[in-house]
Amino acid sequence: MTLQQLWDKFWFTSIDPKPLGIMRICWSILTIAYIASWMVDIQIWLAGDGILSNPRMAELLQSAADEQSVWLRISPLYWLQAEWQLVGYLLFGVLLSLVAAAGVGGRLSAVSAWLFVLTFIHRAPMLSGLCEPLLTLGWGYLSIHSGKEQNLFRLGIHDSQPSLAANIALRLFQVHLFAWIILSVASQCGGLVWWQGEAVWWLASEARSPALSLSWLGRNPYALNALTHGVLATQLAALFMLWPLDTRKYGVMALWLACGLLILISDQLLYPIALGLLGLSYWFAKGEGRREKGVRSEE
Amino acid sequence: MRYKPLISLAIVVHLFAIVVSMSGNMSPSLLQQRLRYLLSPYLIGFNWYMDFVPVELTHGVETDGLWWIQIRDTSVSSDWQTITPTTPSYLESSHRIRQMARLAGLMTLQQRTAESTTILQGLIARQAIEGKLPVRRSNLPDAKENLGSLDTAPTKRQLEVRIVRQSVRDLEEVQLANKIGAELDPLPAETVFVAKAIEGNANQWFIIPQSEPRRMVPPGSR
Repeated sequence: MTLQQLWDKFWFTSIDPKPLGIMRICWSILTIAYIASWMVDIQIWLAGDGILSNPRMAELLQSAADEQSVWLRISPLYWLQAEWQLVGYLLFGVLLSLVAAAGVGGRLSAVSAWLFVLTFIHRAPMLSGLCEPLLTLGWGYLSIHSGKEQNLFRLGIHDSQPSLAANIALRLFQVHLFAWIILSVASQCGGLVWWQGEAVWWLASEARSPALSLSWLGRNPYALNALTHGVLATQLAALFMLWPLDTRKYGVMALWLACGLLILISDQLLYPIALGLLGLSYWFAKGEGRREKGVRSEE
Repeated sequence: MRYKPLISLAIVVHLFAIVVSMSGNMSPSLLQQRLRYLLSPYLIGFNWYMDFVPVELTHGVETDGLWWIQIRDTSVSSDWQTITPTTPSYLESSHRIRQMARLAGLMTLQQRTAESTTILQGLIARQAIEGKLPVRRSNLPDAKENLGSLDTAPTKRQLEVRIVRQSVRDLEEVQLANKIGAELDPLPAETVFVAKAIEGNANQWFIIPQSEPRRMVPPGSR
């Protein structure tokens, strides 16, 4: 098989869009959870008298080293100053997410949800954490497929036509997740504490492990080492097992285990959940040999 | 399929941008930096930018410790009042405010004092709005009976503000202490930055740095 044939087989094969429909619903729920996290403190940060009020943001952005990034930070949140306006904007986001989950509006609703999340990142980039990049990449790829055939109200119905756009979106999800895990493992291996098995100790010392106490970790050094190495090992296992069809489900399980460990050792909740949901792009994708039934070659 | 070459090109360009963005997460070369700059409208505009995403969680370096911000009004009390959380939490709201405390501290270490003081201004102004600043006894409700004896002219408050970092205790030290049943003294927190906050009009706060950049702390402030 030539390189071009392999490329075409990978990207340009129509598939059942059901996995995309499920991911769309999951991303809508995740976005609502993200919005809920803002409900608590949006006025503290973004209101006219907030910590990052417009004049202060202007000062911070102006002193940023990269001037190019300043004009890219476009967000309607700059014009919303009162608390009721900000809360209204959040409720609008919840509505957008529900509309996207229902499949109403097709690509338009997914693009709208994508832009909505982006407005928060552009309004206060310094508050962006680990969850935001995953949220935006998810909506970005979900915007490729219309999502009309599979949505919240049609989950049990299997009458959708194979779609080329669904395959491209799903493949982008898979490739991006794979690259993300590589980056995560490589970045962790760049720190000595992950090799020495002490990363969890550092996280607990930084008051970033709600589930683990320093005194317990100090008394149980083997558990401390096992937890640190476990995070790396499960991510590595996922890397090696995600692509081969025979081990794919084990790879996704390893990824979910890594996400569970991340929740245990760190203070992150939305990030591991988002990472775990990305694993669905492998879980529901059928192998090349097993999906011949639904395949319609574009060639 | 008619658009296949175009779609293929779009996929290749997108994946190339992602690779460039991710490669800059650790220590980018000059070429990577240049490529990221060229691609930044796409990377920043759609948040594919991975430069400052802490996927490693911790690298176990000095700047990874716990950072927090404290204020005090010496005319009220000599005790420092912590205004950013120091306890672990899964709440994103808690992450945001701790992230800002850490950012303010890191900026002072990078001699970006102007940005750091902007953040401190915002935090103190917000504390003032929420009524969480140290309060003089004479301002308390039960002192209102004696209002006649007080100077009614509004006085502008002056606060001391500092950014503090808690270093991480050596694990071997803890294990040794556990082995012999000894109790360790709490680690002293390191004051990274000290400033004076002066109240202006309309809840404006002016921050005047009191410490030199690079962790030079005035004597006696610890």
